[in-house]
Amino acid sequence: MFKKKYEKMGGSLTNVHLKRCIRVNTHKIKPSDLKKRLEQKGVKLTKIPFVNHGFYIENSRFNLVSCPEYLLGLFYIQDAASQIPAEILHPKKTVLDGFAAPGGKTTQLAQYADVLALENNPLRMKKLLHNVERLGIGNIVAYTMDFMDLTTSFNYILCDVPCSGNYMLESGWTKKNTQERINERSRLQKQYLSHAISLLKDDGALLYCTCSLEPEEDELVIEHALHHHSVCLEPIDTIGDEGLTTIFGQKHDPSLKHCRRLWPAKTHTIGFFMARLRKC
Amino acid sequence: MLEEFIKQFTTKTIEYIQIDEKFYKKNNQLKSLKIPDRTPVLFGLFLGEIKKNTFYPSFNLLDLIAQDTDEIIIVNTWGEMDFLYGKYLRKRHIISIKGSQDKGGLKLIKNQMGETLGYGRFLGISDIKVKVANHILDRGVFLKRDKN
Repeated sequence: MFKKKYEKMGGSLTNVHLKRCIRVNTHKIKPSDLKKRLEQKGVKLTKIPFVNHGFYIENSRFNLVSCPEYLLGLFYIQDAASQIPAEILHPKKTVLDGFAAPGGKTTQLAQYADVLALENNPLRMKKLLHNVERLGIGNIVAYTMDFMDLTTSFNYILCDVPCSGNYMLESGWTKKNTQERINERSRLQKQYLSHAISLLKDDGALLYCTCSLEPEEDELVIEHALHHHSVCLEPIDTIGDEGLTTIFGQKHDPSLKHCRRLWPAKTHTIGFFMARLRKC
Repeated sequence: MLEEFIKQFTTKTIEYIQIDEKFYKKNNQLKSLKIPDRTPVLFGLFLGEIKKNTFYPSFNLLDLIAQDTDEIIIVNTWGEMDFLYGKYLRKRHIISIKGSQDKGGLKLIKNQMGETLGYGRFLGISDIKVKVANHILDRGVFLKRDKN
């Protein structure tokens, strides 16, 4: 089912060998200093060209999560694609992260602004707290609560909604997922995004992202927002394809091209989708 | 309890707030992120918490204390690995012991880069080993936390 679906969208179900990636915790160390330090231990790193503080791990004789530099919080293991949203949003002063755990993007946002981090699941929240302590970050306020219960407005919002994931993240993904499950996710995502827009201040910016390749969770969620709220899409300058404007043979809002869609075979990242919205 | 812990290392004080059993470094800038009628699980730089009437410091607190204390043991790369992975600190891996030489006091353990690895109780120097009563707290704990 997914193979044909993806081919119709100009993508594919091709498995790609992904290099592991790290993001430097610039609260603690400069990227060049960390690179030098890890290289002295025999770890070969190359810069990820499309993000500011990320490296590909080209070669390492040991697992990086057991080395002192990891335990000291000098870096975070984070896929290249998921390092993009915080940089694209580039918040100032304060930012809301509505679905924060385990904290990769949250701790990255904290490099730019004070963060309000929400997470509904107490176990996942625990992981976020451990990561924040390991990285030594002091400008995050976190609550275990449902995003839909929040009423405070923000200038910057990251809406990294729960999604069905993609085949690069999980073996057997194509067998586990059904169209019904994707549709159910899509229904929730439309609610989450609508609520996020209701919290967005007039001159604010909102970054919606998923690690799903399904248009029902991506472009069609954005189109629903475009039709029901006074928001418009802004172009995103990063890797990947334009968002789809023709889906399953039907033409959709032409401004959806401003979204970014990362097909693993083309970008050598996990599957990923991003859209930047503003009120208009 | 937070103050008592800090006093074992330095006379300097740290401005903090307490929310339930957790302590955070005072940061007025974060007040705008407070949600009325709800209790945060994190409110800025976490300094430690009380569990069953015992104070457990965070690594953030150790890092802050490290700026103002002489109660430090500096270890080389091998000592760093030993300490992080749960072994005794051996005398040959210790670069220097600063502050009080009395047995029983607390010492921060730092690597050669000046980074705090954890802390332990100083038990004196023998010919074979310096027993620092490791594992009161060391950053190796993040390995266990990642697995859970």
